[in-house]
Amino acid sequence: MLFERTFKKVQFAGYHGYLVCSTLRFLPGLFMLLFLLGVWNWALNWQARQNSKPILAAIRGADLSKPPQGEELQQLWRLAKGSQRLKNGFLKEAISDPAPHAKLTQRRAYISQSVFGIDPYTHKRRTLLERLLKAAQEARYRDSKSWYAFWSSDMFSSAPERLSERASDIGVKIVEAMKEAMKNPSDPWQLSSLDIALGMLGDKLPAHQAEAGAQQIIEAM
Amino acid sequence: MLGDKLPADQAEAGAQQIVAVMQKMNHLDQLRSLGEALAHIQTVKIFDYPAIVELLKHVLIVGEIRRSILNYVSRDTGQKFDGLQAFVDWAKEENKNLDWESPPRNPLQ
Repeated sequence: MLFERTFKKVQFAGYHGYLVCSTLRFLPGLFMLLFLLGVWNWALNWQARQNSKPILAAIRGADLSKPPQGEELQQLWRLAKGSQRLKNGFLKEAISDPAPHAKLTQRRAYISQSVFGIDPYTHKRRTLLERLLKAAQEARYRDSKSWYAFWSSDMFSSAPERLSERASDIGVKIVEAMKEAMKNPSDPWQLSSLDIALGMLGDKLPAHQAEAGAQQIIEAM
Repeated sequence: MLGDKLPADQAEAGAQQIVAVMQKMNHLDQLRSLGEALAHIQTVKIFDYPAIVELLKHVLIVGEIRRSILNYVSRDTGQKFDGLQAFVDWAKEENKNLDWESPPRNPLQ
């Protein structure tokens, strides 16, 4: 009736009280419907997270001396062909999982390809990037910090112009997160990753930031 | 290395064949070798952009293999692509009407 009222097809003619009462009577049913939809959505998300666990386990069990193959490759394909809900579930699981992240870090190019493919829409990447940077700040272990930092660097370098449209300082945040992850590095590949990332981010960074990053590499070496 | 010595029509047919084979592959080293072969083909006109997009969705097509494919595409377009996003932007500007979003086809299945 409210919809019809907007087009002046209905006149209330003194029955406003009746309109309010009947609307109130309808509200509990509406709340119940919304509640059930919320529960249904939560259940589907929970199921997606459970389904993403074998994917994460396969990557964690990968032999890093070889390219992805066997079970790991099968699971990467499963992720690539999966629904958006499965991909979101995987990302949440991968971010919140407290287990060591070294293997995820080294396989991140394949993970990004499976999750995003060549999706032209960058808002999903931006959301993930922001989530990764937040996780990098909050992570307790250096291993986890490097996973978040290096993956966010990959995200950024996939579409720097678009990803920095709203947050121009996002490259600075990434380098900060990487420098934080790099303190007393135990793996030489982290050093080379920072070097590569600085190269990619180079022209998007203020000069002093790029200089500080280079200094960090020299110190670490 | 024959790529730059072949007549244009043979080079195009060869390149198309390489793209088709790469779509069915699931081994990184083989994909890398074929990617390099593709990047060496000098004279080429691409007729099947959907196949290129499908190949770029492949789970193992990252890093240098992706760069090889983009180098191959740039031979046709005359425009160098720094990354995947540059190619996507170019294709959208050119109204190529390509399917970016559908999931990739798994050659294992």
